[in-house]
Amino acid sequence: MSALRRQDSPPGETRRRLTPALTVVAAALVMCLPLPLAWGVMPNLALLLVIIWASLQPRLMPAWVAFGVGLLLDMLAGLPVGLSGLLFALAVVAVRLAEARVEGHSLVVDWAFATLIVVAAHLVTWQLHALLGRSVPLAPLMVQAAMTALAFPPVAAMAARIQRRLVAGGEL
Amino acid sequence: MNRPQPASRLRPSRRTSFARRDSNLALLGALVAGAVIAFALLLLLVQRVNPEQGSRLHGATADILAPAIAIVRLPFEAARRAGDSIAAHWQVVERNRALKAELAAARARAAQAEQLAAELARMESLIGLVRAERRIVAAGVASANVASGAQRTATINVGAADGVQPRMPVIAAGGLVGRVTDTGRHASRMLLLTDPDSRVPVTVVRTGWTGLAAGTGGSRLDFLFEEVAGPDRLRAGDRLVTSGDGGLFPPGVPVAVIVDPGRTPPAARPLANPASPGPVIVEAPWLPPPVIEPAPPAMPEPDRPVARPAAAPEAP
Repeated sequence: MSALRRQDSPPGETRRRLTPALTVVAAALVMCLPLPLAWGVMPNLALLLVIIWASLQPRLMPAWVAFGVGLLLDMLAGLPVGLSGLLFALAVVAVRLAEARVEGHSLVVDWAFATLIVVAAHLVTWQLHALLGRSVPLAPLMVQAAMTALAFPPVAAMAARIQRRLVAGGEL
Repeated sequence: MNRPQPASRLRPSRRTSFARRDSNLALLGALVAGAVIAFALLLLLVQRVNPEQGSRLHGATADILAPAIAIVRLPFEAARRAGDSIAAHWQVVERNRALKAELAAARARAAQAEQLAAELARMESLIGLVRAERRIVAAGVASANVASGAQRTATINVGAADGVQPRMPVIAAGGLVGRVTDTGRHASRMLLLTDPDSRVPVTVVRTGWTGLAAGTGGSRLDFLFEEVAGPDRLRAGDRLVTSGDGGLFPPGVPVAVIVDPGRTPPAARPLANPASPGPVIVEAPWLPPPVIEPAPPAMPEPDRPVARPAAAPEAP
């Protein structure tokens, strides 16, 4: 609370705060559009962006924001409501825990770490579907995880660019 | 601007207060994260108990998504059309020859089929058979949604305002594509027959065997059926059509063709393209659920005279 009031809100502040969440919402919308893709599999762009923002701007991507955008993706994509919400919140927590232990960033380390989270998230998805009484084959989910991992470098580059242009205006 | 002297004197105490505030914030953040995760789990469990809960939300968001899909479809549709017309231009001569040969064969078959259909109609009128009629509810465009590898769904641009309701079968030009699951006002969501949850009662046209075409989450279907005794075996190219069992899908709609009969279960390729269903029609469920009315049970009655002509002399 006091942290919010302490800021004397410069003009671009609201936009700056909303940018990470809005990019994830945009990614969720893109995921639901009929695009021609290899193997008919869309990389899980929203999850990828949540992981990236949680690492770049931890304060602008807290667990509850990740949960909110995940909920939106669930509704848009017709998934069990709460599934992506849960996964995104867990991903944010995982990134937090890792950031607290590991110092420094490099593309390879970040990429490997994101891949690890994505694969784990898709395994959890698989189990959650089973919990919801749907037996889902693992192979398509793993293909999607692989596609998501492949999409990491361009998505990370894009997020870094957005970060430079909009978010890095003030220090947080 | 702070002068350096007092700042250095104040810094230690301020730093500790900042550190305390930071650790408090971190604790608060962890608590919020835990609460959010617990809430998400609860939400999922509620749906485990009551799956209808999510349906309304899905239908409402289908409405939001439909216009965006319509816009995104345009360029791809145009590109596909252009590609098709170019391809058609190059193959026009061979295509023409092949089609002429096919047409000649088809004409002979059609004549035969017409005769069979007329005979069938005569037979059916003799026994007074009542067939349920199929009813088209709405026509729209469906586009597949690939946001998750765990399910195969599509959004159709017709909804409750057009009379679409959950459960209704959806049929594309090639054949059956699936069923409606959630409806919004002007758009609805459907389960494609490739979804791991989808089961369609089918029958093999050539042999008459019945079974289920089960989605696998991939591009193919599993044909689940009871092995039938006898010399007949399933062959590649056998066509699967809906059997009408279960009352939802009308019988005789093409569903898939067997591509790998040696596998267990045999693999089939859907005839409609579930990756991009395109224009579809939504039909009413084939058999409406019966309305139960109280009626006295039937009394035993004598056989019809036509069924047993030998019994006629005994009557007097």
